Amino acid sequence: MLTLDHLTKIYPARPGEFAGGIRDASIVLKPGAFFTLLGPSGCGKTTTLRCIAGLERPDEGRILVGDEVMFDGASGRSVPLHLRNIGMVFQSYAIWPHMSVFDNVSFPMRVSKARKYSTAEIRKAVGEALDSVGLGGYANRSATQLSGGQQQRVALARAVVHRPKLLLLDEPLSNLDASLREEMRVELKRLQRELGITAVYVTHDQSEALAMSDVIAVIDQGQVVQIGGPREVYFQPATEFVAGFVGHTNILHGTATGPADARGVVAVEVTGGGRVLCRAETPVSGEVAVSIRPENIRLAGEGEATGAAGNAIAGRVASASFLGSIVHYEVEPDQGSAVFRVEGGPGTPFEIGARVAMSFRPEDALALPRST
Amino acid sequence: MDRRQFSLGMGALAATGLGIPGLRAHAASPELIAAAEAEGQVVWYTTMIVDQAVRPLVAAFEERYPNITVEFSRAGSDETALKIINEGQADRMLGDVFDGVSTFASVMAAGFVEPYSPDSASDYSAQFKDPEGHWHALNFYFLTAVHNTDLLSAEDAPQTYQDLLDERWRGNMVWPVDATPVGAPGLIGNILLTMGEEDGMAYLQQLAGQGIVNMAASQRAVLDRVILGDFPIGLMCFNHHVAISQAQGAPIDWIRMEPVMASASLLGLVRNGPNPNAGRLLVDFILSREGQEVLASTGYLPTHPEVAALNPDLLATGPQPFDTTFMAPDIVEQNLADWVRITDELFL
Amino acid sequence: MSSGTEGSTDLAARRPAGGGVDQVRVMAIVLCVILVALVVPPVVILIIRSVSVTNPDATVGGFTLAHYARFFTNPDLYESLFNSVVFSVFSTILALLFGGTLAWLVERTNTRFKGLAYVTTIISMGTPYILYVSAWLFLLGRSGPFNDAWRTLTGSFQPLFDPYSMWGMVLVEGFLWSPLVFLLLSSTFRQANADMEEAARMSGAGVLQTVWSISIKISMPAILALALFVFIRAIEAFEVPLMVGLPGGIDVLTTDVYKSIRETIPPDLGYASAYSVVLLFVVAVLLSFYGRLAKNAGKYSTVTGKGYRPRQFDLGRYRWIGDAMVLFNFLIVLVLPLLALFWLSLLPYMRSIRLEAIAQFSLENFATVLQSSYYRELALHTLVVAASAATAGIVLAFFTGWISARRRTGGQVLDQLATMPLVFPGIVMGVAFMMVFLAVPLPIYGSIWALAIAYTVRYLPYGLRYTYAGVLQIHSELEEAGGVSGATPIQMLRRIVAPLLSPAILSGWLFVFLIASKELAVAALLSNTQSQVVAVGMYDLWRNGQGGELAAFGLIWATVMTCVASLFYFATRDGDRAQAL
Repeated sequence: MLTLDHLTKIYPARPGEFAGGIRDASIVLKPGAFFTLLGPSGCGKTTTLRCIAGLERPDEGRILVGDEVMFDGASGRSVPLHLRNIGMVFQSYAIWPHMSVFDNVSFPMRVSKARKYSTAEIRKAVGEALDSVGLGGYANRSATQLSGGQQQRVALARAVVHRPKLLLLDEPLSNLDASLREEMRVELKRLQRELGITAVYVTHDQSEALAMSDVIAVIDQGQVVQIGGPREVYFQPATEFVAGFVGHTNILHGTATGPADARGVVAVEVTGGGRVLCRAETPVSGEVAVSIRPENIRLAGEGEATGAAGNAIAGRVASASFLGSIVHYEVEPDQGSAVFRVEGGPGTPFEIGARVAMSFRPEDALALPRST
Repeated sequence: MDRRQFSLGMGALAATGLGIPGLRAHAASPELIAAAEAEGQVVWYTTMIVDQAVRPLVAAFEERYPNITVEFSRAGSDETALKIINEGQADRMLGDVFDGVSTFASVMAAGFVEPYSPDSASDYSAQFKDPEGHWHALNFYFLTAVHNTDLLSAEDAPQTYQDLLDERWRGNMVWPVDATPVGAPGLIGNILLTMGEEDGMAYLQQLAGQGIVNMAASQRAVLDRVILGDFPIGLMCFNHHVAISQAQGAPIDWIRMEPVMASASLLGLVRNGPNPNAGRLLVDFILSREGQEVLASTGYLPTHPEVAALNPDLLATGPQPFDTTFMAPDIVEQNLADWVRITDELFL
Repeated sequence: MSSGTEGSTDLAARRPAGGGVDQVRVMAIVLCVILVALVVPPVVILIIRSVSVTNPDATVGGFTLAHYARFFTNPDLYESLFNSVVFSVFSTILALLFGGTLAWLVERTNTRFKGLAYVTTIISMGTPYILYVSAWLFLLGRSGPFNDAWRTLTGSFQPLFDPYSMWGMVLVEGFLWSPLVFLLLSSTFRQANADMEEAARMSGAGVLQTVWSISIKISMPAILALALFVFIRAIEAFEVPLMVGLPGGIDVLTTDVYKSIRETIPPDLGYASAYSVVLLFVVAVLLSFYGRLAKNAGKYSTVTGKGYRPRQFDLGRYRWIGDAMVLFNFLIVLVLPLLALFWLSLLPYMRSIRLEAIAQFSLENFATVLQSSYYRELALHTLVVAASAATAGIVLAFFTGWISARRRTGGQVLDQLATMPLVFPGIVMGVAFMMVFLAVPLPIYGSIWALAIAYTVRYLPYGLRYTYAGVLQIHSELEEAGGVSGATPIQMLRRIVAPLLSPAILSGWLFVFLIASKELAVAALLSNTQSQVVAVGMYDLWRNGQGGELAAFGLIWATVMTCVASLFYFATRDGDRAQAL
């Protein structure tokens, strides 16, 4: 449905410094996919989105929506943004304050170049769009009377009212309260599925990305570092950056002692002392980073049995925060300087300063190439 | 209304170019000078053009009396009168000396003129001074039509008042509309005095149809608009201003449109001014032979019997004499209100 | 809203134990006395004189309504009123179209030469209106370059257009206001959320459609408020009616007032007062409308999301139109008037622009100006008066602004007192203060202090805008922390508020200084031989036909004032420049 082919848009910068933009991004999306561009702020995800929208002109590459070439750097073809038939929800919602809800939502149909809509058609389409976002009956409200969540819904209705082929969403939830964000996340996903529309979603919030997406592209400093489903990105991060950015993790730096064995296990000499056995998805050698998710580490009191796990590290509890269903610990290992984040069950409290042993299975420790 | 010819012999005297030999330069009394220097400054409300006449006079005065500085402010006759009356009534008199063609009627009526007859004015002809010393004539004015010589040759230019009614000049004449005899009302008066009430009004009705452009500014500014080329013809301009500009190379000439309106600017002392002695000294200086010579050197037409005009051609009694209507102060006083009213009704 | 008692108990609670007198209350009382003494007499004297008989010797007589009766039955009034309205409406439209388009082009599109628009604005802030008006009158005049070409073409004396007409007044006033409109609207456009326009484009709207239905309509409340503001200023305008209208025989309300004082013997003070009172009333009504519009001006201004990067409309192949517009503005509002002034300053008398005139070029006018004590005094008086008014005004505005922004006791009263001068058109303030100074037994009338006092009052509201808005930006906890630390209110104001407010104070001071140094309307009636200021001096030069010296002096003066204006522009934050609205 959407094809990006070696898309590049670089903002001029001083030499050796990355000022923003995207390099050489390629992806092919199936119709109806919910695709997320995930990365820290300034990584180039919004630039990518704006290139698709036509708000920025890429330097190189091609953009196709369906079979239609929207942009082709080689031929110089670029469809003006207002003729691309793409819906977009802005981070600030961009609800026009001088118009009613109805006027806002009906705007794309009233200015449509493709065809003229009759008043009745417009009325019907706007009614449906508002119903679908749960704002039926709000048509005559003034836009300035809306709450943030309602504006968000109006923006969504406006973006889909003319049945675009593609829906772009630029951090649409970032200006909402936490509780509202959860609710909108579910609604957005529901609406996207109901309409069967292909969506491109930009966010820096990894939990949002994991919860909503079919496909996630993780972007770092203008480079797409991994494309995959939520589980793949979470459990099989391609790089240290992805592991650290998607979900919480503990990173140990060290040196691989040799190639992986037949089971894919490799031993890593941890910088600062100690040695861990880990799984390697891709061939690694030399400097590596080892990622261990907090929920995969078991805590035991000193001298207690650590179970069958292959790795054990002794340490001291530096802090403990009771969060209800879990307890959040920070453990200082005896060797090395990295503080471990560990999640424990509520039943087995450890006091601050208590000596503990952390254990985890080799398959839960992932050896990754070091990010520079 | 009677019409008086203005023929005073002083022009002839000036044309001979010489004063009475042997008369020494006049000097003010040491007491007056001392008192004036104690005051240190004098304020002059003038209607004369600053760069042409005021600055040279002030410079000469300050050179003669280095311990006294002259502050001056230039405005039209009525504005100057107004300022003095306002200040007088508010008991805040700030001016010491003033001049103007039609300033005196109202300021005298309000009682704000201090009579003063300086020694230097003793030689002046009786016509040029108030018997009680309220005013002395300071310089002559001749107001007539002027034309831009680039736009209009002397042959093409109108020569008589009747010529002004030509279709060609509609919308192409400009004049100053100050409510004074040296503004539009003066021309009204000149016509009425010359042609009589009935014929005069008939003529003025026709003239009003010519769409003369009104300018609320000095005669100098009106003349400048003609020099600039905004208008080919100006009315009620001073002929000595024309001569001054001609000397600078400006494309301008004046027309002997007879009778030319003649008038004189008067000089006097403000009652209760802050610097009465310095005021007296300034009046004395301006009327003195020395002061009048400075004035004459600028191209203005002096009233002093022994001071010659720089350019005698400008005088009605010069080598090329011309007919005039003299706007004596009493005529002005009697008729000005009527003339202003007619100007308002027909031309504004 | 009145927080009278509440404020004082609040304060009592904050005051450190043992503080005897309530300093803030004393301060409010002192301020109130000063403001009443400054602001009330002009109003009262106008009202009294408007219903009193003016005796032939100009003293005040008994009660009468004759002045009002004469005012309302004067057929000329309706002509002046009509002229005023036509003049104001069309010059407002012109200024808005011209300045507004320019602001949009510069702020929101990829038009080139944007720097020129700012240069034009800064220089125009420092240039007295009179200088502009005289330059434009020369340019548009019957023998200015345009008409001159026309006359050469047709061989007739008849010019193509006469600048001394309603048309000329509108044109000149419109140009005069366009830099300010540019300045104010450019900050509106700069703060506009680009998402709004992009959303429309994404919805399928074309460029023009977007500009019309989104860009313009979203800014409409701000534009309307600005339009009414410019309209009010045009109703109050004095320079253009005086220099263009009066010679052209087109009277408006302000020149009527001026004439009733300056061209009537004895001055018709009763009539002028009645006229003034009616004008005050009209402006007050207009201002209350403006207040309502201004409240709505920010209605559609949304908080911009995190700044992406300044995004601009790509004008595409129409870009040259934008470029041309910016260059046109630069030419009309800056280059041509300056060239005209240079031309005039080099010639012994005013001449139309012809090659052969170059032979007469000399620096004599500059020499006269630089050597003459007259011009030195003009400049000195103006600087002293403007600096005194700015200083006195900003000091009053500082305390008033703080008390009213913090809603302390008396804040509302002080605010209203300090804002009241806004209803005075300059010429009316001149009339009022003339009568006040003539009535008080102090030697003020005719001195530069008369001007300084009148200017202080006239521009107090402008200073207040700066300090009031400045105080609102200071978190009140910063002050409360000072109080808790044991500072008295005065110490707190001096040690905490004043330093934090210094940018706003500086902006306000410079702004008042700049406009006070240009003021003509007030000075026209108050200035005297010993208190001539630049604007009045320039008007006299113009009227008396000293165009060359006027141009030479004007150029020198404008250069100095442009330095002050640059300081104002660069030393103040973006938002602060627009505070004065």
